[in-house]
Amino acid sequence: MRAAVTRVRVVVLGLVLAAAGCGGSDDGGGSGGGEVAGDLRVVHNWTGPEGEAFQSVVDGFEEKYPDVTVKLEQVPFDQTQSLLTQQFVQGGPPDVAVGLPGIVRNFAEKDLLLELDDEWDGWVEDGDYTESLRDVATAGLDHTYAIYFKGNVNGLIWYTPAELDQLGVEPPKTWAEFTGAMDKAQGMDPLAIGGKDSWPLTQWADPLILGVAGPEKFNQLARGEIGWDDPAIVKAFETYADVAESYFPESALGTGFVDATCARAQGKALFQNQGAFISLITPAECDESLKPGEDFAFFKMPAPDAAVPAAQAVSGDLFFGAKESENEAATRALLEYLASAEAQTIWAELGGYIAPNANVPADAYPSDIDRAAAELWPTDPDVAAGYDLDDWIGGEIQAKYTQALQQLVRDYDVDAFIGTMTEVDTRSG
Amino acid sequence: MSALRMGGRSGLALYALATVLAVIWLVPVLGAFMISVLPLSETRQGWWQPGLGDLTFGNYSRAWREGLSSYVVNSFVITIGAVLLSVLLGSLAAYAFSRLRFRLKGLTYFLLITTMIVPVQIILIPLLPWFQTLHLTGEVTQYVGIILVHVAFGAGWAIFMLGGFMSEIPEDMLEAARIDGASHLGVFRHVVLPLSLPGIASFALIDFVFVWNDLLLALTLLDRDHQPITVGLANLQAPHLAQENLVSAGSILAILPPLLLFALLNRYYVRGLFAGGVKG
Amino acid sequence: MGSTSRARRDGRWVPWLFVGPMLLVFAAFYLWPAVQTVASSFFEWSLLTPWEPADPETWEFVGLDNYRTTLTSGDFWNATVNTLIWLVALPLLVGVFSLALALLVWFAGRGSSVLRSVFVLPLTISLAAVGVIWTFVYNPDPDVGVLNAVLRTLRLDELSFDVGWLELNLGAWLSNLGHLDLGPIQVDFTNIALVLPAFWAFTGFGVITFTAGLTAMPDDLLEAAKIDGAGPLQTVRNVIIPSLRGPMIVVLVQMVIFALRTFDIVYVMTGGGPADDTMVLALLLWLQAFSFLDTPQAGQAAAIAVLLSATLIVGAYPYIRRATRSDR
Repeated sequence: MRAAVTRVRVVVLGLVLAAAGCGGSDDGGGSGGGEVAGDLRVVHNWTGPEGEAFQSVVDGFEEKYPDVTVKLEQVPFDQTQSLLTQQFVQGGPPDVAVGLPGIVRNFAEKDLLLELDDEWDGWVEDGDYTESLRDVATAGLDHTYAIYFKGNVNGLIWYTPAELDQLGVEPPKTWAEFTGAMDKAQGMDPLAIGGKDSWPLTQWADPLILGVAGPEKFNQLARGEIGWDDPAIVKAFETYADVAESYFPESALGTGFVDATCARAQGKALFQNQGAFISLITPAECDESLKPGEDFAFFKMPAPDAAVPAAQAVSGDLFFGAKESENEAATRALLEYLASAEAQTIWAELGGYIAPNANVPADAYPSDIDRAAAELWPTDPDVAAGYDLDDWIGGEIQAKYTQALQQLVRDYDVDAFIGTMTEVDTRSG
Repeated sequence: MSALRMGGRSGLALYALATVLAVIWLVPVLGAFMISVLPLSETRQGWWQPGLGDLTFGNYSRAWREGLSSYVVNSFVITIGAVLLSVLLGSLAAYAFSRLRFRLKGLTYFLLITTMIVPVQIILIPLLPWFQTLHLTGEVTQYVGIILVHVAFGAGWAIFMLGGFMSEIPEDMLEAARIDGASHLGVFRHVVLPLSLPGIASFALIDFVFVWNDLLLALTLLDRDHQPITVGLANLQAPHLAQENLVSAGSILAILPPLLLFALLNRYYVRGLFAGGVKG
Repeated sequence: MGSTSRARRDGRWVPWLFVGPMLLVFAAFYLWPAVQTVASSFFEWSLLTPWEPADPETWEFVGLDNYRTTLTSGDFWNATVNTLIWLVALPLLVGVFSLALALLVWFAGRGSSVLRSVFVLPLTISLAAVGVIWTFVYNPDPDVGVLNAVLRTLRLDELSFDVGWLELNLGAWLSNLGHLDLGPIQVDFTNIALVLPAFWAFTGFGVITFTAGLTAMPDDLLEAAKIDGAGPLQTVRNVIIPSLRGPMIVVLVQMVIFALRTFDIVYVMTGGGPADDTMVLALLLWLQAFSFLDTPQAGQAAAIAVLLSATLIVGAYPYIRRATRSDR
């Protein structure tokens, strides 16, 4: 049924796209222009080039609403939840903050967030967003409390074109070609992992579950409707263990994300499975002279089982507003702005970003790499979206899951892994 | 005292061995320093390689711009505030514990001393709601809150160390002042305090190092605008960026102030710890 | 003490003027929160649904459930074993090595204050920074990490074996160093790799403490040994080391106290990983209280804090009493 709904929406979307051109920004929404004034405190977790890009987006808001002053507070990514909790507990939450579905759920369940149902109705109607993206922002609750600001597609295999040429390999399109290329890697590791930071390991799980168990099982697992001992899920992690045993380097758990990214860029590894943001991180952290598209590029990781329905692993950042905010009008105005094509176009033009808003024009992206990544963004109803499993679940299960993956990468013991996860995640029981 | 010191060849051999160990002891800090001043490409070839040129302080300015400056300011505000208050309240209390008698002295002393032993986790968990109750969550009051926790948690060390120094003051001197008609406060201000200055310096130094180096309390209690450098360092180390050159520069910046104090006031520092060593 | 009569004449409240301010701060920011921790360990709560002593509506009394859950949870016992590794390794390493260093510097005679300063220097470094600095040392890439560069030079970088009960992979310091299987207890060596930085940092404390003991040692003791014709090694073993019992207790007790509360180094270097190999109690309870918010676990975290503190108070009580007595 959802597919049918989405199909209709795609038609609408096409019409709106044609009319969008310069961004569907002037629909002020429910907040009304006049009273949008005062100070806003916004918590986000981007640093370096990403932090600057977000600042540009916010500058655009202040230009649009000159009476509002936005104070940005940057927090470290992995402390986002605890620092926000601290501020909510102390009665001084930010007006607007970044978060993942797991975080949104924790706060929304305690009735701490502004409800955004009306806004979403409008966006879905206008073709800015699909119902399935709304589903992600709803995080499994009855209402929606967050907007989708920054998209990302995962399961991209990054490589250096010259190295593939040298191996005499085309960018793989099937699983067999993919493993075949890794078998050919010589004098370098087949893969760069970065498992010391644990989250890169989860980046492998999502496309493998989608590509082995299929998107339906993926979403059921995320929502706690099936257990980890479901045969399709077990099979997906058997594939994971196989890949880890055959192709992960010995230092998979000893090397962090940035080191792994740069090791691949320097030719110490053939492939790296990561999100679209690699195009921004590689030049910034490894070597400024590296050009996306020429010196490094990506192909989509082929599904191990070609028979499962096509699916795209996605992730990304939400924003929510605090119910306690003393300036609700401005808070809502900012959330609407961040969800708008106008705001997202600003970052899209800076690169390393995928706009979740479908009305951001393709020519906004500065490079072919970014455009290619953005094209994978699931606006096509035939391609299901699987939102980042652990970011979706959040909390203790997420922490235990990343731990268990580290163990799996070490001992390839799928039974033990499934056993641990069944014990940790009791939602389906 | 030097009866057993070795001369001649065996002394030289021991000296050489000690020197080698000392050099090894410095390697971790040296490594962090080299990584912080070398361009990234050269640290990836090994900072210990001879012939590396191109020293740069670019990492420091970048780390500074990425927000380390505010962390450092916060560290100073918190540390100086906590040390001053600890010295003030601690020396008053230490005087009473070392020179006066009063009811419940044994019990209160015991309670205060437990802060030297009990892990800080015992107060950590309910502290956030408690701070909200006390309205210690504002721009300035956040500093006040963590400073007071540091003072409370340093109470044991304060009365133990300062009391130790104060109990060494000869009773005659206090008695003489009393005969001259000085009140307790007068005795404290004009006799005990001046005579304890070296001890206070030792305590202040050790307390400075202790508070400056706290991670757990700051991580738990403070928002981003009030966090000190230790939290800043942990933030820089966070999985999403973990940029070696920035982190190394940050770590050097973080260890510099206590290190400089240590270098300048080495003998007070050592004396303070000496006191603990002989006492226990 | 001579001041007794005087104090009585001034009235009983005078000493309280001196002690009062500190006691007030202590009561508000230590005693009361600690009492709250103990009380809250009998309730189910989380930071998002806080237990408040003044508001009975927030009281979800569960009796001893938090303790029962904790004591039967695999996470708790895993963290306990890792904390025990710290508890044994750190005092042992610091105690033995800093005693040897103090003696070495002492006997070497020359340059002793400079040498001692070098060993004391890491004591001033925050443990967060110590963790960062040692992360560089442990970097697995022998072109970046100095330790693995040394291993490569010594051709030990490939040293790796697994005989079931003992596994060792030299060079994989923080990822897969290996383990020793002792039946019910598995010693993950990565914990040792985390103890080493703490050992490096705290050795200076031992050196100072032992040097203080050496300085305080009566000369005639050594003279007597010399006259008896004892060699240097015999003197160290039979005269010096026994006379350093006091400082040794100080060092061991301090290291035990530190080992039980260890947090910073683990938080910065591994966050308890890989898997849960290096999870310690202090970090586990912090995660339960401040990070795992999907289920209310702050009561369990409080229970761990209470257990930890009770262990330390009982274990270190003689030490406290001694400190108290020496000050009357």
